[in-house]
Amino acid sequence: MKKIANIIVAVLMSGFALQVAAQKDSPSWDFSARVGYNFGGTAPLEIPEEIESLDRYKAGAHFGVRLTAERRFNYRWGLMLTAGFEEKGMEGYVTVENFYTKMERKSSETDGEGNVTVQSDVVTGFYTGREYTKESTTQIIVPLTVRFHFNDRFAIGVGPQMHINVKKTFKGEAGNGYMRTGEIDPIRSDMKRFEAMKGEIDMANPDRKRLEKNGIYLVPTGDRVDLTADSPAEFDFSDDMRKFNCGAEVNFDFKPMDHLLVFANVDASVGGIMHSDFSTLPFELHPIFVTVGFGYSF
Amino acid sequence: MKIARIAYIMMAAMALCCGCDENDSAFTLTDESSTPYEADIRYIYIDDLSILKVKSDSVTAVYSNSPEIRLNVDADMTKIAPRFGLTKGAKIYMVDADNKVIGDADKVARDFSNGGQKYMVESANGQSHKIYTLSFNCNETSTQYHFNYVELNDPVKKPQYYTFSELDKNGEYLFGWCTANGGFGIAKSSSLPFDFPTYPCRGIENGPDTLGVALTTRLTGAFGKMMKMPLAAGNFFMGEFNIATALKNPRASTHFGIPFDKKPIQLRGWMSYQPSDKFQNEKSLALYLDANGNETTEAEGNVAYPDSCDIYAVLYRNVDDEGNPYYLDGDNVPYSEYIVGKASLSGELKAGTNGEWRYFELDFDYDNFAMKFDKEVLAANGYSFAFVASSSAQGGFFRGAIGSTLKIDEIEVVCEK
Repeated sequence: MKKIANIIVAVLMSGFALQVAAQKDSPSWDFSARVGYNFGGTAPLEIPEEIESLDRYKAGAHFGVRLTAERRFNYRWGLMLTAGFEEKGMEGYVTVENFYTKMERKSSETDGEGNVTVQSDVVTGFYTGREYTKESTTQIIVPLTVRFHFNDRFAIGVGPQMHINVKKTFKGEAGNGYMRTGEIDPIRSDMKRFEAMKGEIDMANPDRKRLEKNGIYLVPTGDRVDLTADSPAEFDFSDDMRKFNCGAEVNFDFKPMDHLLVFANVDASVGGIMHSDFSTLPFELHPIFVTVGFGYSF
Repeated sequence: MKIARIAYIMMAAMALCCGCDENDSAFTLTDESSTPYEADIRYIYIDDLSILKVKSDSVTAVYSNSPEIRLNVDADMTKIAPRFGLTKGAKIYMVDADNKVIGDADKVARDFSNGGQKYMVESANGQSHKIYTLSFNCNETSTQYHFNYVELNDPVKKPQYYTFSELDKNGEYLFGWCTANGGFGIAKSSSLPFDFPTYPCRGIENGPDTLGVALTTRLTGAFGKMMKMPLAAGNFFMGEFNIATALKNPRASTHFGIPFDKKPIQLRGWMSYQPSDKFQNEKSLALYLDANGNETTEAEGNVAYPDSCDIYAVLYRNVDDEGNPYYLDGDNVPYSEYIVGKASLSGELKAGTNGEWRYFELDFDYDNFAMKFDKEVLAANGYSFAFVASSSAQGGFFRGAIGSTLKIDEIEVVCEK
């Protein structure tokens, strides 16, 4: 961390040392081309109690290019439209405890006459152990930000962004852990209520939230299935990811020299990375990524 | 030059950001791994060895919520005080039929002479509860198997599958059979009771009852494939099935055998086998036989790889050389040096009967095993006996023909008088 801090201070100092150009107040256009490195991750907005620890995080090598066009209304204010083509992603190992999850897989069987029947199987239960996730998106991102220029060197911008994921990956494996199927707690639960509701509950795939609303508790006391590190259960939710998402961007530019610019921006999304009907994970994951890079200002 | 220098600094900063890591988790999976939400009886200890049929049963690992321990025929069942090994931090109570707590349970004597007694385990954090029914079985070892009682595993749980037990003439419970249906149900939750690998069927004509057992080799669906276990042969055996290790080590999850105090000399009964021609290997590739009898994945000009069923019974020493409890499982049964006698189906019947019921008689072989039969060991309940049937003989290695169906009924073990 100290190293990074030193570098940032050095970059800032060199900027202040440069001469401040004369102010101009007439409207104009500014253009730039930029390359950046993206890091960050997709995370729940609050750390859920099921997550015991984040054991390893790898930002990975994800780069992107951006073109910007900024209309300067006056010396201080402008509106910047950006078009970016970026890859964002992360890899991580987490240890979870009683993580309630639902995995669904479809399989098809062909009978003698060539008829295909598709069945959907669900494994629902509480997972305790290690989990590895690799997530990445290649996206076309279009932020529109209102910009404020402190002087000729520094500018800050904020505004909405939207992006289309042209390639999306969310996969990983659960291994070195165990899954326990959920059972109804016979002591804490309202068993009369449960008897009455029994017919409408699909116990292979129970709606835990609905049960809890009715005073019926699902607990990890069912069958235990071990998943070793050598033969983990793989998952791939890439197809369940949203193609289109929107959010906000905050950006910061620094121009140490007339044509060189150094920039950083943060992009966060309002919607989760998964489709709203995706219920495998007990919480929503939101992408928050930082881009740092440099560019050429025309 | 300046641009180059700043670019260089930027690259260095990026490189720093790339590698924030390395703090490995303390979690390691063991059999003892647990969380404060879990509430299991892991072991049952019986300190009064005199009532036990097999001394090594003084510690019983618990795999289901209705464990059963075998006692001597003349054991006093009115006062048994078991000790319990629980999930870390959990507590156990005696409960009545309505799950109301009666009192602490550990080392407290209860009357098991009228059937099982209920216990309730509370997790360390008090948030989870689980009910167990413990029973003791002092019935004489049966030698006739009618497969005359089936029920669904649990009226609430899904998926539902059939479980099998043996009743005597008066409808009294004798013992329960084992299948791997529980493991299959986890992988393929969409299955209906008759889609499982083991399910009831119509038995032989003119039998004492109408039921028989059918075993069918099934695909395990997308999850099974993911776990590299693309198929499950129907299996049926005496013993226990440890569902926890079903996906980790499926062959070792099938524990064969129950203590036996007679010397079996013949295994006889009825079987019917209809093999399917859709043989596939552990990689889900269709297999064929070429003109030279070698297996190949090439269909053109070759014949379907023939499936075969398996029916056998073994008698084995249930204590190893160090005096520890020993049992046969799907892994060690082909070569175990503790086997003293075996009777197994071979030849024509193994290859198929076109789905017709056929009678078979198989003599026990006691000559071709390194360990010799010993009457004294038998008298001391030192042998266990297992009857095992499977719809695909290589099913344990995930090789078999999808749809191959074996049916069995009215099996009898003829023993020396």
